[in-house]
Amino acid sequence: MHAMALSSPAVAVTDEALARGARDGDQDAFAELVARHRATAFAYAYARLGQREEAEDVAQEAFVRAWAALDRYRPGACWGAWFMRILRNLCVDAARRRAQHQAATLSDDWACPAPCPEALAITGEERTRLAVAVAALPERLRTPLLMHYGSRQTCREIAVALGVPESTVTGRLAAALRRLRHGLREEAT
Amino acid sequence: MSLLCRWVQRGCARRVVNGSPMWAWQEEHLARCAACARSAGALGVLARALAGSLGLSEPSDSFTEAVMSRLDVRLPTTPRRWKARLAGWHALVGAVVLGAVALTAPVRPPAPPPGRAGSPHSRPGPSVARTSRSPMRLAPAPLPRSRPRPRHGERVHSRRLPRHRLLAVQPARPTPTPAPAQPADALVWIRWAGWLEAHGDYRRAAAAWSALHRAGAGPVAGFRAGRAAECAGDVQQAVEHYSQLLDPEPQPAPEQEKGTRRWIDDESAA
Repeated sequence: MHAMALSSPAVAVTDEALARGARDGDQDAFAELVARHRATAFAYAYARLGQREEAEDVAQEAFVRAWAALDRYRPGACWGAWFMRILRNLCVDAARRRAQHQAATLSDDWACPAPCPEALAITGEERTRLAVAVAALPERLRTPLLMHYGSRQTCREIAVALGVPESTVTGRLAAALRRLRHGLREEAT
Repeated sequence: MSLLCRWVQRGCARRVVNGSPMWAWQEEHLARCAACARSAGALGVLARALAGSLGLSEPSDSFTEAVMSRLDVRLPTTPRRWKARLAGWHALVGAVVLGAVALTAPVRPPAPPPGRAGSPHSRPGPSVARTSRSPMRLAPAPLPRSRPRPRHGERVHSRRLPRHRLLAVQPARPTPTPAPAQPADALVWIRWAGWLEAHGDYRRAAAAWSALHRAGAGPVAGFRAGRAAECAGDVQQAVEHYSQLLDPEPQPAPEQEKGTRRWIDDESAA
């Protein structure tokens, strides 16, 4: 698993080179790393925790922890995977503190503030049903689903964030869609 | 639902997720099976509904600045490179302080060698002058007066030097033979005793001067033994040394052989 697919593929400097620079004290290099990975970090934390402010705080704390632990980063390893492991541990801690593992609900933040044409096609009641169905999904299916459809993360980025192969992410997304459809159909009938 | 339909619907879901192409036989099955075609269309609608109903969640614009500000707050304590730099500065400052202490701390060298006792650069430590008549005859020299003489019963606090500095300035220690028989040994003992005096070890200096005195180095050695014992606070031993100077032990008279002049004189006197 190599470096995460970046939003700006034209950038020649890899994450590992930036991490080496940051380890030598270059804050600009670390700021570039933050700019590259902040969307994925926030998407994962948001999908796991469901609260915008808490997700942003946890994601920022993950970057701070990564900065403090840069000398423990092995230069040959993927920096994105290493950082996401820190973020995952922080999210687990935060979720454990809130004890929301069993009662995960989607907050109102997930509601689209400016509905797109597709969103206009579904009514408010259907949207509520969809949100309830998404919240009922298990965490291993709900997190990639929210990251993919809520934060527009690609399967490769989700794979790096979750620490699983890309094909696993695709399979989980497909399974989540099929389970959602099955649940909505059963509810309709 | 047959196993084939389930497989095709799984492929449809994957195609909806990441747009992966379907196999030709799956396309043919979709064209034939109405249930699978309906499922594929429903999955597409559901995906679009999800994309529309879930608001696009992105971090705030000030996310990077917030992270960097939190880094600035933690900089002095968290990254180890700053610790390493601080450690380097600490080591440098410590070395400077130690060097300054080493330069400013007074270190008395050992007593000068006997030949340089009268040189203008000689320090006011114990000096030894070799007389022309006897190499063992010692000229009286003043005792070091760097500190006030302790009163009777007062404990003498001698300043201890670090061990490496003691080893650096310490003269050759004499062999533990109590009585220096050769003049060269006596010089080593003199230097040793003077060095002990200069470093405040008056008790051992008194013992060294006493050994010199017993070896016949002259009354100066006995006098300095008494002074060293007095500085050490051992008044009784000092009195013994002074008393030995004032009242030396009577030397046994050599036996006179018969036929010598003395015998003849005694005979004539008788």
